[in-house]
Amino acid sequence: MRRLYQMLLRLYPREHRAQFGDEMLCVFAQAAGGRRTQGWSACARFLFRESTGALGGACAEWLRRTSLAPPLGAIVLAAALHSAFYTASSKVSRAVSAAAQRSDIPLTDPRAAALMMDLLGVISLLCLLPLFFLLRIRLIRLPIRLAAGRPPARDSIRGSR
Amino acid sequence: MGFAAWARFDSRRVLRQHVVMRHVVEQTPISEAVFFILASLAAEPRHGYSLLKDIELLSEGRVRLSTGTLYGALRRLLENDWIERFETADTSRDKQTYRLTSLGRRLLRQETDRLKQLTRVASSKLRLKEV
Repeated sequence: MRRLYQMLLRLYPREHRAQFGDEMLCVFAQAAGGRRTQGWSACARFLFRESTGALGGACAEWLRRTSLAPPLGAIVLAAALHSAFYTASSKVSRAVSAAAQRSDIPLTDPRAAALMMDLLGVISLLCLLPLFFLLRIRLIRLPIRLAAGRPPARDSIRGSR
Repeated sequence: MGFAAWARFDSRRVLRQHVVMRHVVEQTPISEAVFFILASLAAEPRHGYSLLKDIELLSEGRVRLSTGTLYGALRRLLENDWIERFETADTSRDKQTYRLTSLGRRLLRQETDRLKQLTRVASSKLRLKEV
């Protein structure tokens, strides 16, 4: 049983194992010792509870370490800005090509201009993503300071100017 | 804020503070397992196995925590500063003792008052119905 639990503990993140691994194993061994005398059904129930608890705990620890909400928020925000930029740039490119067709100025392939705008759009998306990964921190920080009744940090005021 | 400050910034710490503030200011309820852990530690400092046994005793066998659940909760409570590690003579790597902090005690008292108020309201309503 101890070996099985040791294997389950390997599912936990390394930091958690370093902090609590030995202690968890010791507590499990003590609890298992108590159940052994209570018959096989109590023992099976105990083993089931411990293994589901360990699996659930490991999942929770991993999920806690990889919070999905902030990156997803950043992606949605960046995508929204990107689509706004893309719409505006395609309108500009269409207006430029229409103006060029009306005038006598010989126009190079209008698709080239559109392609250029598309490339700019993709580059803007790539640039916005890391920016918003940083920005989400400030978006979280300010309301928390205000809720705690503290004034905004000096550096965040300076940053918002 | 300079880039170095951005890089040092720990958003998880801020989220943790937010969780603590939510419990202190808004008095959001705490889970049953956490309540029993805090109640068990209120009397005296305990280590993991002693906590498991005491919680089973306090809940009259209704709440039986697994080791994984207990240590997940202990980790969160340590992070929120509701409990702390306590050095004793037999403290070893696999036998740490935990005790309540003043914040933890305050939260437990707050939660107990909240539960008392709930039971008072429910009891009075039940009495009215029976009369």
